[in-house]
Amino acid sequence: MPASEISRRSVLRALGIGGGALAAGLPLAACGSNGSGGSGGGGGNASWMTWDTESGTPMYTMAQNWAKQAGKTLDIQSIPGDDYDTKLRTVLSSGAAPTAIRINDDYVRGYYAEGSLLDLRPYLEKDGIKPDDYFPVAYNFAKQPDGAHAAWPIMTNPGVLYCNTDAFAEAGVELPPKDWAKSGWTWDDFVEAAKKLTKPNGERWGALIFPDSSLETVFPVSNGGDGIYSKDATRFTLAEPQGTEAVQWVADLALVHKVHPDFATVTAGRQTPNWALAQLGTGKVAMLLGLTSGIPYLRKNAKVKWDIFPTPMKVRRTTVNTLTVLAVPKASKDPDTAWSFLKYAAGAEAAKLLAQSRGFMPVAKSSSALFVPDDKSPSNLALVTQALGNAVNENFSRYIERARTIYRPVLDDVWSGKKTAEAALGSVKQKVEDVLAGKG
Amino acid sequence: MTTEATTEAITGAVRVLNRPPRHIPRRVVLIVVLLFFAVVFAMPLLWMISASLKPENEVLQSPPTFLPSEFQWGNYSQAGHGLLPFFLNSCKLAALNVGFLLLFASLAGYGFARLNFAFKNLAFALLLSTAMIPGIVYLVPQYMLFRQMGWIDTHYPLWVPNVLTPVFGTFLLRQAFRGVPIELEEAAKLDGASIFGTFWRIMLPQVKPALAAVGALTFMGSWNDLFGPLIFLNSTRLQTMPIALALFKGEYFTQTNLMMAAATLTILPPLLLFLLAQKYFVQGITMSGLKG
Repeated sequence: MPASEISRRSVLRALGIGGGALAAGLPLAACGSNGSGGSGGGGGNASWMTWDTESGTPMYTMAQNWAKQAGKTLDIQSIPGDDYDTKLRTVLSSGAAPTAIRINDDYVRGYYAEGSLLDLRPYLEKDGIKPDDYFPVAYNFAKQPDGAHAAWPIMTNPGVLYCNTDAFAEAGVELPPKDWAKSGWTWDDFVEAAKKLTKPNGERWGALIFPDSSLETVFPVSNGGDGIYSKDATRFTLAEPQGTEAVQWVADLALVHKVHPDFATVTAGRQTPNWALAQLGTGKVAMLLGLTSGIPYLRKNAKVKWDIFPTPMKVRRTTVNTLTVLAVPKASKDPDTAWSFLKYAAGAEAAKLLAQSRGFMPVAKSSSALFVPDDKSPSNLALVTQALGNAVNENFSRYIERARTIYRPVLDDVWSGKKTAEAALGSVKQKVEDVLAGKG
Repeated sequence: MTTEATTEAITGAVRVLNRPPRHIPRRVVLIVVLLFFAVVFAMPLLWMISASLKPENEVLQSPPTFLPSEFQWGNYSQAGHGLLPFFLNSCKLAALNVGFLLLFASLAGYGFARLNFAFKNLAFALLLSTAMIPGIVYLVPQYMLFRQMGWIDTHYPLWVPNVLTPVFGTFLLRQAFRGVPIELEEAAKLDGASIFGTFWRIMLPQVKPALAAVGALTFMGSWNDLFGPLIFLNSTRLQTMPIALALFKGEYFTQTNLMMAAATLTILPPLLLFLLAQKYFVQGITMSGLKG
C-alpha cells in the first residue's frame, strides 16, 4: 500500500491487528518455541548443560550413546565456555536446573557449599562403586569436608613437561628422563638445560611456564609446600616460604636467567588462542609446562618433533591435575537419570571414546591401557598414567574466585621484577586468609 | 573520536591535499600519516582475513607472515558448514528488532517531541531512567518471568522486550522530531491532516536519517548480542551467529583459522549495511544533536 493511501483508520486497524497479534503471540509463532521452555531444558526427557560439546566431539557422541542405551532423549545444551557460569548460575537461581551439568572443577566446592549440588554418596553406595577402580586424584577430588561426594569427574588432565626434542638434539642437551620415578631432573637441571636451549635475541626460549594455577600449584608442591592454599583451605600457603621460593624461582627464569620470555609477553599471549602451544609447536620454545589437553593440538599442528616428560623436582616430583567434572543439581528433576548418565560417562564404554584424543585420561585406572603410542608424538604416553599417580589437585576453597582477585594482581609485580615474591605475596596474605575464612 | 569528528578530519585532509603545489611536502607528510593510521586501524581486519586463509600451524608462526604459504579456501567451507541456521536466526532477529523497534520508537519519539499530555516530562524521565538499571540486576527475575511465560528456549526474549522498551531509539527520534520546523506540522494541520496523518506523511519522512541511524544501531545490537541468546536459549538450532563464533573457541585450544573464517563471514552483513547506510548514519547522529 503506498503511503499516500494510508489513512489513520487503516493504520490504526493494522496496528490494532498487529498489537493484538503481538499480545496473542501470533507473529511469534515462527520464533522457534519448542514448547519446553519451562523445563529449563530443551525438548527431551533429560537435559545436560555443558560447554565445548558440539556435535562430532567425543563428549557429544558419548552423551548420545548413553541416551540411546538408556532409552532417553538427551538435550545437550552446549554453552560457550567463557560465559558458562553466568548461564549456570542463572538457571540454578531460577529453579530451572537441567537434569545434569558439567561444572568447572575450581568451583565445585563453592557450588556445593551454597547448596546447589546433590550429594552423590547414596548412589555410590547403592551401585557399589569401588574407589580403587579410579585414579585417587580423580575419585577423591569431589569429597567435601562434610563427607559428601559433590560431583563426578570423568576425565583427568595432568600437567606434564612438553619438550621440543629437535631443539634438544640441536643443542646437544640430554633429554629429561622418561620415567617419573627416576632420580635427577631437578630444578637446577631444568635451568641448566634451558640455558643451553635458549638462542639469543628471542630466537628460541629455553622454557615457557604460563602464570596460572598450574604454576601456582606445581612448583610450591614440588618444593615441599601445600600449593596455593593449605589442605584445609584456611591458609594462603603460596605466601609461605615454600610457595614464595617457588614463585621467585619461576620469575627468575625470565628476570635472572633470561631463558624464558618476559611475563608481560606471556600474559599478553593469553589473549591469543593456542599461543603457548603454538610457541612449542613452531619451535620458539624448547620446554613448556602444560596440561595433557594440549596433546591433540600438537599432534595436529606441531612443526617440530616433541614428546612429554616429567616436571622437574626439588623436594619431590609432582604435578597438578585438572578434571572434567559432571554433577547433579540439587534441583534436578530426575536425579536417578542424571546419575545413570554420570556413571556411564565414567565407565569403560565411554572411556574408549574419550581417550581417543590422547588429551584426557578417563578416570578409571583401566583407561591406562587405552593410552598406547601410535606413529605420532608423543611416544611417551605411558607418562600420563605416571603423572596421574603423582598429581595433586588444587586445595579448593569456596571462596577461590574472590581470593584470586586479590593475589593475582600482586603476582604481576613479581613477574615484572618490581617486587620479590616474598614481599608481594606477603602483602596480601592476611587479606587472602580473611577471604578464605569467609570474612572478605 | 566521533564519526562526525572523523568526517571533519577527513574533509580537512582532502582540503589540504587539493592545495597548490607549494604545499607538496605537507601533502606527502599528511598522506604518510593517513596511510599509517589506515594500516593501523585496518590491521585487525587484515589479520583476521589472513588467518582465515592459513593452515592452523601458520596462524601463530614466528616470524609472522601476512600471506599463507598456500591459500586454504577450504577453511571457509569448513567454517561455513552448519553456520546457515545460526545466520538465518540472526537475520530473523535483526529484522524483527529493527522493524518493530522503528515502529514503536518513532511513535513514542513523536509523542514525546510534539504532543502535549499530562506528566509528559515525568514519563520521559521515567523512560530514560529505565536505561540506567544494569541488566544483570534483573536477569534472574527476568529469567523466571520468561520461564513462567514459556519463553525460555524461544526467540521471544531476544526481541519483544527490546522493541517494547526502545529507550535509546525513542530518545534519538524525539531529538530528531524536535529539530523539524513546527511550521511543517502547522501547515499539515491547516490542510486537515490528523495527528497520525501528520506523523506518518509529514514528520516521519523528515527524520529518515535518524530512522536509519536507529535502525543501524539496532541491527548492530541485535546482530552482536551474545548475552541474550546465551542466557535465554538452550537449543543449538535456535542460536545466533555470536554464539556460533563463541562455540569455535575450545576450552583448551581453538581452531583459530576456522574461527577467523567464521568471523569474516559474520562481519559481512554489518559491513555491507554500514557501507550502504553510512551517509544516513552520520546525518542521523548529527541531526539528533548527539554529535561530539
